[in-house]
Amino acid sequence: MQIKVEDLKYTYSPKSPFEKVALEGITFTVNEGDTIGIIGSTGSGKSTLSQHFNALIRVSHGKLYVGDMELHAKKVDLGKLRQSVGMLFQYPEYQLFADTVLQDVCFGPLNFGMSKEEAESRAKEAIELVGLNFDEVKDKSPFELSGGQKRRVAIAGIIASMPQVLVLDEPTAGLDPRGKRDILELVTKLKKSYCKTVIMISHNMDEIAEYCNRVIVLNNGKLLYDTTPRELFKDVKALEGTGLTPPHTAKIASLLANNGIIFSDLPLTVDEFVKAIKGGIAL
Amino acid sequence: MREVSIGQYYPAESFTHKLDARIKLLLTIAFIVMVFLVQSLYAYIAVAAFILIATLVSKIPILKVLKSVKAIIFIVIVMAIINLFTNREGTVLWSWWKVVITVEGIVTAVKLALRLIFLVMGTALLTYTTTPMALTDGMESLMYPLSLIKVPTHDIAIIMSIALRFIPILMEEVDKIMMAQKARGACFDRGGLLKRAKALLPVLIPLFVSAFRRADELALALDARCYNATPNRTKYKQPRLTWRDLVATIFTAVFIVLVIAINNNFWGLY
Amino acid sequence: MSAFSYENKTPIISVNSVSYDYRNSQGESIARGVRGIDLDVYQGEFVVLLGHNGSGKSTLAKLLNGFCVPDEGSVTVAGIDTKDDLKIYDIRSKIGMVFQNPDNQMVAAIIEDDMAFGPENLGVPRDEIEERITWALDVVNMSEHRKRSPSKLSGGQKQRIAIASVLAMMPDVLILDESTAMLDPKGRKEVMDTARMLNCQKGMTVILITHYMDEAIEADRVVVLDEGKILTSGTPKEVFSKVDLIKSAGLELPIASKISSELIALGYDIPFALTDEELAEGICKLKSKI
Repeated sequence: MQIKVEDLKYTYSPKSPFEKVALEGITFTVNEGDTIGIIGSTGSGKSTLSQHFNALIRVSHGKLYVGDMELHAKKVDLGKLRQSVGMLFQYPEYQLFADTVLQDVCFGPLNFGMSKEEAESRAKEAIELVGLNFDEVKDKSPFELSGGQKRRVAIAGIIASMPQVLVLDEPTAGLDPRGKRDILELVTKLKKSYCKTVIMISHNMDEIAEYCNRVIVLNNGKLLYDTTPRELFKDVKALEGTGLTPPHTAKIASLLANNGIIFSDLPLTVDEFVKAIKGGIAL
Repeated sequence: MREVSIGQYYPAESFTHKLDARIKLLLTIAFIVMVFLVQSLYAYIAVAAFILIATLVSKIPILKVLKSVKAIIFIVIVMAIINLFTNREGTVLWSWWKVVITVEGIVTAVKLALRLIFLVMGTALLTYTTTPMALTDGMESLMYPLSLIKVPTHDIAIIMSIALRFIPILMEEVDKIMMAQKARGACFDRGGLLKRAKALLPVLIPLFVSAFRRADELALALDARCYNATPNRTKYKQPRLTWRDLVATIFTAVFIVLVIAINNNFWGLY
Repeated sequence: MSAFSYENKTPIISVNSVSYDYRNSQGESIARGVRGIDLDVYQGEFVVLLGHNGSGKSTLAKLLNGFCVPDEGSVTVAGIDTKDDLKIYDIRSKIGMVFQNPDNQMVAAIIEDDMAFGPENLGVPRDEIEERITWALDVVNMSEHRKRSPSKLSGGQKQRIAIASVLAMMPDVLILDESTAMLDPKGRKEVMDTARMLNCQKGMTVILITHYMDEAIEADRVVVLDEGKILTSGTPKEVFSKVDLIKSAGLELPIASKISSELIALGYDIPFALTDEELAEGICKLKSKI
């Protein structure tokens, strides 16, 4: 499923003293199979943009196509849209509410009109996919689980509706290193099954560098770059003024470049970096 | 992005805004008592004049003060109608079957409506010109005598202050949770009353869970900052009375005397 | 950064073989807290407690200011035992604690009123509260916000106010209990810079609880907790060079440490690095040798 954004603009509290332009002139395309990172400092418009993708914010100016749906049209089939575009909010464990994990995960599928049996079988699949033991957790209260487990249940609640696009708003925020790693590996696994397209908002450039094939940089509501992480982080100075810091590997590479050690391909992960050194690039 | 203003504090630089909250509270109470005592229609006119002057001094747009009445207009009308039909004594103006409308009935209904409207406008002026924080402090200060009989006035003030701080935070949280559930296909504006109420459960439960979690953390934070460490707690903000408070008090006192005088036909002095 | 000298120093906090379990109302243990912890924290030290969620690091923090009282062993703060109920507020006024969520630790809707809360509770005279607020806001560089509401501030700014509110109680020790966990990178940097400045310039003892490895790099001492026990402790370099131990504790090395340890394992002659700069320098030196 392709997402096309054309000249999107959004203003909070228009025509009032509190008027604030949150997005302006945003144009880009997300292709099926992309893992696209949206980065920018707090207040750059990342969340406003991502909430457009499943019409939590309606298009007020510009055009937005999600698959064959036109979100700028007057009438949008919200059910169909929200089933196709799954959205994981920041700290999604805070939206859990049902008596049992199973009921909570079924909430989405039932809302989208699936039968109880179908919803439960989807829920089972989703709970297992996020790495939890279905029989162990299904009748537990979601509030009994640990922080990392709660977040997995929240993710299962999204993917149980089988969305084709997954929008993740800082999926690893607040987790410890192991929890972070688990969630990111889960996202990689999901991409191989049904959520072919992933849009990920993150403050962690190391994560973006490692997991995304494309990256959109927002600054004060405007699109600054639409490129690959390797291109973007090649020039660490390019990020100056956006409040973002480059990933560690890029920073080390730029320090080495100052000393005449140049990488032909910027390493984005520890493995790539070690491989480049081993390959004798630097030495 | 939602701005929640409890008591709709209206920021402005005015004489009334600068008054001590305690004085404003006391004057408002005096005003309320006065409105309840007033009977004569002329006195009502005087009260209206008082409100008009107070509004002008406070630099609050008159329309805004009038709008505060909108919230209770339904109650005012219902109360007035009840009064209109239940008063059966006096000069009958119009009657049909068991319904009797008397001149006195109309007068009582109008008076009652005016009384309610004056009350709301008076208290609205208080909340428009005083920050919630100052109001809380003022109330705590005025409740001091209660603390002598072991009423935990300070705790009450802290509770009010925390409530005021957390209402906007929780409102924002409601927005967030609603969005998250909408993304999961929830619908809050469809179906009958029962269905809509039920649809709110996925919002209310996380909200309560979150409120309790916050309360837990806040309790720790209060303890960490030595809440209740000593009975000899000091007070950082000690408002001092100024000439403004004196002027406002004298002005209101004179007005109250005047209104009561009008109400009692100047005790037949002339 | 000069190494912290432990000579002639007495610990301000002493934790002696402390164990603690969370219990239900019947007194039955329902969750492990910590087991057999020994830890001395010295005046002016910057200590980082590292550990994954549930490793016991926050329990340890709660033991330090008497929120929890040890089942076994003892905790003393400036010579006062945390079991001494009568002196618990002496301890809490000496140990300022900043928590994870900035919104959940502010009591007033105006910044200076929030800052006054601690000193008011301690019965500090009015004029002195005024001075302390002015001083503390200056320390965290937020003076212009004094009369404003905290709701309009960024996460990092809110946490700086929370730190200032605690500073107004004039504590000897500042505990940051995962105070950076909810912040964006900019906010984290603001809080870390503030903590470091307090430590270096004001001699404040700082105990930072975190699972961000980057924040541990400049500590005087890193203490790693796992399963309620101290797994290892020492200077950042000593601790992070135990690569397998760190991994087994569910933690991750800083990227520079990961790369340098892999290169060392491959036989490259470079020193173990904590920061990007150290690693770059090591690689450059290696090149010049060839």
